[in-house]
Amino acid sequence: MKKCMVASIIVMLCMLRWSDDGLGQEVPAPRGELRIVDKNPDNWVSITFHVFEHLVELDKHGTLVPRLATGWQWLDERTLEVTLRQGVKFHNGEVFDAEIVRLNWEENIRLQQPHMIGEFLNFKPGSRLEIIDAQTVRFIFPEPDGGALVKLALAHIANRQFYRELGWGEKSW
Amino acid sequence: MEANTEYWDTSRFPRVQRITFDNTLNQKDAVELVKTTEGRVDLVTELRPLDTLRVAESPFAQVVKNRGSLLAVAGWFNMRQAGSR
Repeated sequence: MKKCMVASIIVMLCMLRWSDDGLGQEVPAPRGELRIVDKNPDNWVSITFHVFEHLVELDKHGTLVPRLATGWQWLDERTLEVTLRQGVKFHNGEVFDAEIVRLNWEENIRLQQPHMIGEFLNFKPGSRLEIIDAQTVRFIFPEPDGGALVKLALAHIANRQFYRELGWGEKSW
Repeated sequence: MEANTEYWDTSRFPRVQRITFDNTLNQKDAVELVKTTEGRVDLVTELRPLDTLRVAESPFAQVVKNRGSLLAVAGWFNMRQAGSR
């Protein structure tokens, strides 16, 4: 009986330990509300970069890191193939895939607006996008573009609802 | 802004359910509310030095200081549209 109890306690501890590990990977649900009054005229930058994600990001060392793209490869000096992350959903349930990248690419190309940081961050006219499959796209540039990935790091990826209801503002440009 | 509870990257998972930027309040009222109430205004930025002293005395709020980063101010021109300023 004693042995049995000891054994069951060990089993229980193992299970607790196991479930502990399981819990450790679980992320607590977001809670509460923050009300902010921020008169800094630049706050739109941090808001925008917290609302929209990008294919790649530059970390604090200036290294490109994967975000919505999991990988990228130059097939030749004008063709950049990008592999897209799977299993990503927007807040409204829309699925992130190659069609979403195309939508954002077309809006980016169509507007050719004065970029927030500089016109040099616009893609050259004639740049285009090809969908290979739901998780792969190719950017094809009219001439070699060494800054292409940095431009993509600043090209916001929005969902269909955003373009349906809002779109990028400043139509007067 | 509402949290995306389906966000893929658990290392950056949202911790706050909702964030509201309230542009209807002026700075003076915002500082007053953060000092004297709980929940109406949670965070006010760009405090003037004298305000930091007043907020520091409040039981509802505390002053958080941060080392400032180098600030660059830039302007740019729209070279596409004639007559745009």
